[in-house]
Amino acid sequence: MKKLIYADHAATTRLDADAFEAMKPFLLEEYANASQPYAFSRRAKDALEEARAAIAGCIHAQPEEIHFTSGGTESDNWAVKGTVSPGDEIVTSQIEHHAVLRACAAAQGVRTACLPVTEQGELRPATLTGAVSERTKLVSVMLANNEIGAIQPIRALAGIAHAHGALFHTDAVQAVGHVPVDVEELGVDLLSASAHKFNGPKGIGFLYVRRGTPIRPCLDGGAQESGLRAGTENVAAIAGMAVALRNSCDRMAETAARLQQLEQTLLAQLTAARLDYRRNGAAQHIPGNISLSFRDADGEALLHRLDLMGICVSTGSACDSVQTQISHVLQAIRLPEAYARGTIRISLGYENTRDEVLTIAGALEKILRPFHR
Amino acid sequence: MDIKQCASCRVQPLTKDEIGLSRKLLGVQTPELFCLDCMAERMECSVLDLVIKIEEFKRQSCALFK
Repeated sequence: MKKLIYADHAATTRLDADAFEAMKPFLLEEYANASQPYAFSRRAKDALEEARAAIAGCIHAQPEEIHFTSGGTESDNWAVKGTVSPGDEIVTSQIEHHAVLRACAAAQGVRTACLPVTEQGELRPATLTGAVSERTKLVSVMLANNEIGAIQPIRALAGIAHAHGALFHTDAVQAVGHVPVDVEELGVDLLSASAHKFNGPKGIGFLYVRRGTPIRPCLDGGAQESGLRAGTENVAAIAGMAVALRNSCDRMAETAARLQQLEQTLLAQLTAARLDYRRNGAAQHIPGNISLSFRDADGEALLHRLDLMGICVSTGSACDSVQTQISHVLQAIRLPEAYARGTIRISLGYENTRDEVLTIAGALEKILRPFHR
Repeated sequence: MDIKQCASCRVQPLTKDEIGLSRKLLGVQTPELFCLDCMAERMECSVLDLVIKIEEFKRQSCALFK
């Protein structure tokens, strides 16, 4: 059987073993509903507040500013739909995740402006300055892009939004646990995160809401999450998320340094093999997120051929019998079509080794050499 | 109707699945199409690996297999 090489950590990650241990008691013995007043619920209730405090500490927030959700998509939807009203305007970027773009499109009676980015995938502060107005209620710009890893100048962008009286939301799903995130330093009002992107469990995330930020409830029902997000809390997943985030933050600098070395190894191998490729994204990017576009290649074919070799990556394009659909992100950075069609995303994690990276490079060389002679 | 043959062993006609799989693994524009045996040899995998892939593509309603 082929050895699996998992290089799609921007899609999801393996559950942290400590997080799993932290979850187990709340699945088996301490299964009480945290909202009940009896003694059996005490440990579940305490675990929620300990997790809230731990997560807040990791992003320099206050515990009461952390609201648990089912993940990044719910957090993004809540941030958008919970803050705007008919007649308002949202300003966002062309490279946002669909959880933001489609939430904006679904907001009734709200006009959305999607701003262009540079060829490196950065939203320039000057572009936002030219688009934001007194009518703008919300500016939503992701902290790091999921396809190309580019990190945005969030502090500057948030300052511009606030100067016009708008709220600022950032989708930080790809960033939290991978790069330092300090909500005070960034100056954001709302921030979305998802546990399974930082070795936490799936189906859990949070929305940071700065104290005093006007936001409507996400779900109506019980009084959980300060009356803003009804529904019995998933205590096990929340406890696991907190441990996973703390561990990710503790090893962040070491992981980043190692991933940067692995990135350099991969790119050096591809260059030595004389493959014609472009690396997408900005100089400031999520460590280990490597978007590569190979000239005259087919990204989806690459993905499936790597899969047959036991290597998991993502693609930025998908084909049908008529045409290749290039992702909205690759279109927004104006990648020439000859390269865009042959785009894959390799996203490395702390478990990947140099040998695995050399295997990936060797596999790409084997597949692409006939096209790039 | 245009009869497609395997670019390696020349067996013909290739099935719709073999044509779809060739396009999926070699690119939509590929001029070369392969039977399952030759494709497995080329990909250094088993025919079963390819059959599983074909079934996955069909479940995803991939237009190349319709």
